[in-house]
Amino acid sequence: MATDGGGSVSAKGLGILQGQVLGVGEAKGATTIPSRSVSMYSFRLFIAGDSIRSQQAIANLRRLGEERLGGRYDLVVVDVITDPQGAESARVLTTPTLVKESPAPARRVTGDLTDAAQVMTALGLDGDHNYRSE
Amino acid sequence: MTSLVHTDTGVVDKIATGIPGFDVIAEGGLPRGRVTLVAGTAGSAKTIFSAHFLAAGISAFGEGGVFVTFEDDPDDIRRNVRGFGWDVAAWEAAGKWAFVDVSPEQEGPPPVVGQFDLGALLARIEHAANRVKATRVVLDSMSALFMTIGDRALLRTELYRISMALKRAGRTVVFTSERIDDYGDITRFGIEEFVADNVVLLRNILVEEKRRRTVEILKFRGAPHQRGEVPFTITDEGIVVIPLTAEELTQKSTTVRIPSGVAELDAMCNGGFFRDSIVLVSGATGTGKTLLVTQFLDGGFKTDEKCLLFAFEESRDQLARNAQAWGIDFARMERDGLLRVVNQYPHAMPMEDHLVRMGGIVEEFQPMRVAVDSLSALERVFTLRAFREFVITFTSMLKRRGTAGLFTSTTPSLLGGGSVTEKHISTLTDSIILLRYVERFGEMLRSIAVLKMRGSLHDKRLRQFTIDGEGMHIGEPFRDVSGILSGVHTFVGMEGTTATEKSVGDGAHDGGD
Repeated sequence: MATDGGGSVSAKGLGILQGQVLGVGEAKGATTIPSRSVSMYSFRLFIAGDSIRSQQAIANLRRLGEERLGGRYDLVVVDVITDPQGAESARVLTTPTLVKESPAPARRVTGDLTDAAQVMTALGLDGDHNYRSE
Repeated sequence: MTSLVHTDTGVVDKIATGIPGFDVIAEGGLPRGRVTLVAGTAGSAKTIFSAHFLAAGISAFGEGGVFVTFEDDPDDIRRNVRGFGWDVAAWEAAGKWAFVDVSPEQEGPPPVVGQFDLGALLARIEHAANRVKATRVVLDSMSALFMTIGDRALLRTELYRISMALKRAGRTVVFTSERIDDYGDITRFGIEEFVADNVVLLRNILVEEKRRRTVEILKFRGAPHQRGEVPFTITDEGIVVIPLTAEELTQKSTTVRIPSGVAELDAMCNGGFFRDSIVLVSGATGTGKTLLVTQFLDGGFKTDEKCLLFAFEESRDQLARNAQAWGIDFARMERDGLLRVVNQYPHAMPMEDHLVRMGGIVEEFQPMRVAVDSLSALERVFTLRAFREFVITFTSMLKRRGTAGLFTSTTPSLLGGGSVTEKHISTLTDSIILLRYVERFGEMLRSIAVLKMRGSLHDKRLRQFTIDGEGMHIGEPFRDVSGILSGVHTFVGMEGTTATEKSVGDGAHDGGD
């Protein structure tokens, strides 16, 4: 674990980091998925570093977003290693943790999101059938 | 009662917890930079122990601490420990204390889809620890975390990962776990002790219908510590562990004598009591124990020594009136700052609390003489074991300070006999003085004998004494009486008495003890 990384980042404080779109790993850059039309869904995904598990969670979520939500979603990825305060504020215990922030009510699911149907159920999105993009 | 110490002393550095008494049994404190499991049943004071570890780190050593709470809301913890004088909110504001709040949320843990780990928890703990420069980290309690996360294999791996990360950063970790049974498995799933270097057990058990809290250091990997259960109590300053060490064995004893307060008794003792000796005075009710106590205090007053009396049987007023009748002025002694009388009701508190309170008064008043009247009052409310522990600990405390002690013990029968008290503590005291009634030709007489006096010659004869307005007057030895101590005494050489001393003694087997 990157134990040394946490300390330097912590100094940045909550104000700067919150709401900011964070990169995953070194080369990935911003990971807000631009919505093709008006976003209906806002997600925040907490991951711990650029691990295979983190990458899988992001990939699984993207696939779900495209295939089941018609791409109409925003995603903010929070790396708890570089933004531990973000994890603290959101009281996240496990990684990866996906938070559906809107539409309300907020719902959570933890794991690398391997099963899209289960994720939809866990987030209370069963009734949403945006299978095809417009 | 000697402290058993590992001989294979490693080079493990210890961190003083600052919890009174704990560092004594831990022989310095918890192993530094290691992980210690503190396990106990519900209500065994695990959370208080954790909080005390952090609080003492801050207040005594200026060391920052992180409290990871899986169970209680931080607000509850702040409030609950406020009574111990720990202002957690102020320490948080000062950047000395940080909570990582993992207490259960109303909606419950999120559903699981796929693989996950506790990376977020580790990141939060490290973040908090870096922020307050924590040398101490507590996680309370694992059992609550286990309720949230069911995957045991994952917990084992992650707990190990978190422990390693904290250890690498040089932090000393305490994590708690709830046990089902005070004398069963250390933990429910056996995961925590796999991860921990050290195991400390807290117990809260019922013994003879009395609650008894103990702490036991089960193991310190590669570091010395005392073994066995040691009582502790929770005071208004947190946890106080009461190490029951037989310190008198290593005490250097003095040859300095002090007056007992009764000149004839000094003569019987070959020049008075020893400066640092503990004297037990045994006698039936009315034989003059309280008088001897009073004269002992007066003896201190006359030599300008501060005296402290713990009175468990009679009120201050009653004691002062008694003293007045023997020409001793308690009020004046108190005015001069040479006497303090502490009235206590033995029923009010458990043994540990009595010890802590009495020890506190001794430390504060710094007496040269301490009297307890009577120990029997304590014996009645403690379990036998607690009573013995009390006497051991209290006497070693006095001896360490070089304070003279005089304790009284009430025998249950008027004539002869010993008491349970004596049976269990006679080896712990340096001297024993017996006060006994003797019936002679229809008249009740009093007798006194110095039964034992460690390290000194003493008068071995049984002497008659009388009490008047000036106190105790010890007279001639009884020469014609035998068997007083057994309660069945005979006048040797009187008409019709053919019994020898020996046969009298044999006939006295049911005499009282």
